[in-house]
Amino acid sequence: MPLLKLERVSRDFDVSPPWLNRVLDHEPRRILRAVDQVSLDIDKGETVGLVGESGCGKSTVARLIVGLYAPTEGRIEYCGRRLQMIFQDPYASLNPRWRVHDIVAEPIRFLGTPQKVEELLRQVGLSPDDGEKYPHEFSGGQRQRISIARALAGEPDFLVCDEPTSALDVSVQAQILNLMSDLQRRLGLTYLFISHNLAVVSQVADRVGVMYLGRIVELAPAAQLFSRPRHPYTRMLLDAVPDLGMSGRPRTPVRGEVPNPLAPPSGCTFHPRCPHANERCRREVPAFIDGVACHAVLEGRI
Amino acid sequence: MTLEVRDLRVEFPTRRGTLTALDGVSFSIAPGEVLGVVGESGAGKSITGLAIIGLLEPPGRISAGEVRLEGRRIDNLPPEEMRKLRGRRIGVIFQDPLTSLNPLYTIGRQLLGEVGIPAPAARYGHYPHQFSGGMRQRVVIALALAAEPRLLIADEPTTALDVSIQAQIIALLKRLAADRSAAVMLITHDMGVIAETAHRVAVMYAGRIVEVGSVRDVIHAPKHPYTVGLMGSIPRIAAKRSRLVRVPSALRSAVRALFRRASGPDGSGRQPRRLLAACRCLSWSA
Repeated sequence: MPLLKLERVSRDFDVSPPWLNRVLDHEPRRILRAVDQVSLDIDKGETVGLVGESGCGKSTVARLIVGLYAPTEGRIEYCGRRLQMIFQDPYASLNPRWRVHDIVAEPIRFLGTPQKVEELLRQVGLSPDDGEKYPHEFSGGQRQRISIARALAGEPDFLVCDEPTSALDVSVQAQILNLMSDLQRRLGLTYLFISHNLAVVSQVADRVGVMYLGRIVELAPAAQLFSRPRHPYTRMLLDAVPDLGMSGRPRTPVRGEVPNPLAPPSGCTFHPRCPHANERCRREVPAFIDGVACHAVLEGRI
Repeated sequence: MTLEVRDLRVEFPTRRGTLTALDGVSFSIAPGEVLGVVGESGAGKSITGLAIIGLLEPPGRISAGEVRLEGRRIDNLPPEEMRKLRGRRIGVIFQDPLTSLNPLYTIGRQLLGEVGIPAPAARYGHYPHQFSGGMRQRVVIALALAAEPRLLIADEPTTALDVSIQAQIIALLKRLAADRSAAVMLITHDMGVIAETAHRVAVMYAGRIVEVGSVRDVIHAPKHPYTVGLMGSIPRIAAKRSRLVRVPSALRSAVRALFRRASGPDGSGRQPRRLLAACRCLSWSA
């Protein structure tokens, strides 16, 4: 029994111009499908990474899971007790007028437990005295620790982390990633870890899903995905990561950019950028079978 | 040498003592060479770039040292002279492509073809908001290169972009440096970008260059303890580590150094909060 289960979840956004403009200009309604038929199981205690370029629907998935958006289609089942979310920008996600103590206590403010806040601050490597300070007195990494303390206040068993280290320096990022893995071990947490940084995801995730234009195109154990990527898009993404080892491997140049999600290409949405695309790819949407959604892989062409 | 920087020292006088943002920074870049400058926020990377092009925000000022462009000293030029140099001899690319373009101007046709934007003729009359992030950054690069500068300063040119676009921009920068034998100073916190693009790399920490060397040497055999820590803290796809190495934050130790200096013999300046605020006002990590 998975802790969280997404079953063919989709989310549409209405981005039509106002009614009057539509009538005058004879324009139809315009619907943006941000998440398209996403299915995903997450087991207790594991970390699932979600990667993809900006606009691929990663953050919408996060917001669907925590209930900030309702799914247009499909169902989301959660068997745990509580979910919490950690946001990307620790400068924007903490109220600058509140003391840290009040920020951390917000999810549990009706329980009135000051000792708990001290305990939470200690847990994320801050001093209990820091509770009296305001967010502006902290660095980016410390602020992200405060957001983690706040997320842990309600004793969640599932944390949705939307780009939690993208706004931080590498050394600070390392501290936060270490803290998150310590907390996971100690508290038995389950993470959905969303990032555009493949190296960070390879560091933390047990399984990784790759999203492209609202769909999951590949889902595999992290070790397998990074050593033997199957979907052409995953291969392209991995190829584009600057190589620290400077092995001098030949790099296939990245082709094109993400298409406009308002007018996605027919068939497999990756076909205009795919080196293996054929007639079937242009016509038919590939089904997600055995961890990958690609005609070429399933036909054994690549 | 296209660019020579010797013993550069940049100071920000504040009410609570002087903040030394750069302290004895020296390096040079040859024609056609890409020098990577890495370091964390607050290490002084961007300040170095701004000092070279004479765009330090007051009260920041160059208090010692010199900057030479093709042998000519440029750090003491009057603002009017410096303004002529910028854009013509020195091109600059900033991090955020949307804020560095004027939204009310269209994009020139000739600029576009050169940097690989498809259908330049159709794009000629378009405005910046009609371009995607990657295309906008290419427009910024096109603008910076329009006058065939001898020196190109690129401050975090790929940070705001997705990996696939990032790879395209890196390839573009490399090609342009090679084709036009321009000197490129590539400022970034991303070691991967440096490894792909630069010939040599300077590692900055708390306002100083702590290590300079060829990219291969610095990445595979770093000498300075800070560089060793920095390399260990970077997550890599190939080798999953159980723990990432922790390195002290550059900004924090810089501020600590400032406290020591500020709380001089008279014992004043023991107000960390004020000093931290002062650092922020100076947009030190901008």
